[in-house]
Amino acid sequence: MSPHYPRLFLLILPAAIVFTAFFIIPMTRLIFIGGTGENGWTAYHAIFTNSRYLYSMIATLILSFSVTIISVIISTIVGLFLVRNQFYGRDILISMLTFPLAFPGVVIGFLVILSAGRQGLIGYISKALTGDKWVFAYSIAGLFMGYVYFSIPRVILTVMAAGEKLEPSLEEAAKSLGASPWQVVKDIIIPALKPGLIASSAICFATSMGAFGTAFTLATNIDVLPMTIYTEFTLNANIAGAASLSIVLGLVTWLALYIARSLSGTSVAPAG
Amino acid sequence: MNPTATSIKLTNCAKTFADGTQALKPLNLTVKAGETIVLLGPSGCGKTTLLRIIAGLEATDQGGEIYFNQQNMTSIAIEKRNIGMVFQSYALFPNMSVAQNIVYGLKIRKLKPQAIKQRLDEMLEMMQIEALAHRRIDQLSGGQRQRVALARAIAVRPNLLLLDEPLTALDASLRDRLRSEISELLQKLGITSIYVTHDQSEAMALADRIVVMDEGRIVQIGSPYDIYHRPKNEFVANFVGNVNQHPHVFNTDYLTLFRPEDAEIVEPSKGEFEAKIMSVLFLGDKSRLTLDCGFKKPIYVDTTLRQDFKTGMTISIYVEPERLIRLKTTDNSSAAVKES
Repeated sequence: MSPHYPRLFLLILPAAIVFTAFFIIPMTRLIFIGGTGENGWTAYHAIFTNSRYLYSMIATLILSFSVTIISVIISTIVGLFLVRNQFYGRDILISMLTFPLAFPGVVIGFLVILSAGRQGLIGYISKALTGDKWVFAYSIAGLFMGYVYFSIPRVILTVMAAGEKLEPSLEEAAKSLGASPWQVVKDIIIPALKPGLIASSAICFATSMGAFGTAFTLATNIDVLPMTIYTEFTLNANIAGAASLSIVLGLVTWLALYIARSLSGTSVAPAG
Repeated sequence: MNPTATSIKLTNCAKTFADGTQALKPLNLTVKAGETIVLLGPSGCGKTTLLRIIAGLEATDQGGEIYFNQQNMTSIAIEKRNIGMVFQSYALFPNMSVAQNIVYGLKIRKLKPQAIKQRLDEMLEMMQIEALAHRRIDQLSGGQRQRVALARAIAVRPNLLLLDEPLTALDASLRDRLRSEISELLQKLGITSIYVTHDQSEAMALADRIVVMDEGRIVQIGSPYDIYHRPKNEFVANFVGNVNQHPHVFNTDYLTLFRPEDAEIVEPSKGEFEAKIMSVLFLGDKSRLTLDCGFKKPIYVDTTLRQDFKTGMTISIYVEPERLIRLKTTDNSSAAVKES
């Protein structure tokens, strides 16, 4: 045995205590609680057999996927634009774009209601233009809008960090070899941004999977998984069901992050 | 000479940046087909800006025009100019292998796979990098990277090869080796080339003609021999080598200079002036002496004499009249005197 082991053990002890107390013990209890309901361990199966659970899981996955893709596309374009262009008010604009990072989900939900709710701006304009009042704040479209809104800043910050490291001579070399602007984007810029894009996609996806505040404010017509868990826990007092759904949600998100991590080769941490 | 080589003509090209600084004063330059031109000057002299204008990476100010052969290229984008470019930072694509880097321009030009393969093998052999074809870029040394960059630039058979300080990032011994390889390569290909450097020995070794630049202007254009032995002003004389001011004033309208290697150490009776040795730098093949002859600036003399010079000795110096560099002092365009 290496003489360093006792010292290493002492060094790792604080981390081990925190990890055990706040992760392993509660998670293990949660796993067991999931199996203590009237249906026993089949509660974990309920995500597939209970149509309400399954529907809510599928809705959450679709929502998170589409939010991730749209946020990454928008943020990449905006992030690169901000890195490459100097203009008056640029710094203020960047700090405003990162504004939503400070908002709790409920405020984001409130903002969506203000623009797409019954008294919202979008409804007002659409009524004036088409005679139809568009109200989608309480549907999946409203959730989508809110999620994209809070996802964009995280992705923009990552893209800007990666974009600043892009060497201008790489693009110049590609152009000198005859590459069109689109070929430069496809062959040079996207590959250079790829690790950052995968990392921020993963964070974006995990955040959307677990987002609660916005869903709580908006989800009257639709149940995303965190809302289902909340409902089972508080209204139906189905503690075992809530626990098993939590574990499944955690596993699915972890799986997505794991795939992203193995694709990018760099570490990706879940957030939110 | 390469029959497809392109001639270049620039008329009235200038560059003023957005912040108002004029990096390049309006200038004209003609490069003959197949010629290697070296733009030489200190940093900030405008040589890189000029190269970037020729490449199409920067636009010339209103009124400037660029011709490849007789064709006006002023408003043609860089990707349509069919040039090859080599950068100081190599600028190899990190997401592609060596082979993928080299064939990138050929894929863009939609060559047939067979032709691409053939050109790739040709380039790998020419640059002696066959063994590296499947390596990743981060597995290469600086010298290997620059070979790949050269292969990539030449692979597309460009009308014009532009090299922006390609050797500056390499260490000294590698720089010398790659310099002679580039020199051979340029002669063999007969491609019109424009090479930017601040290193006079690189310029001397590679150029058919050197364009000496300072403060956004062309100061002198000439063969390496002309630039070295017949510099137009003191700036050029100092920039392409060491130069001493002769202690004798032969004519008040002229400044008389000579190069350290042109001074002869002679018997006292044959000397033009006497000087005391301040320090001796023995370099093996020659000795560099720093002399004091009562002037505010020391005089440097290189000698191959097999004599053990010592500090404090007094020696006599003679410079053959045809080896003197005479510059008109009334010429106001000559750049500020620089300490040699």
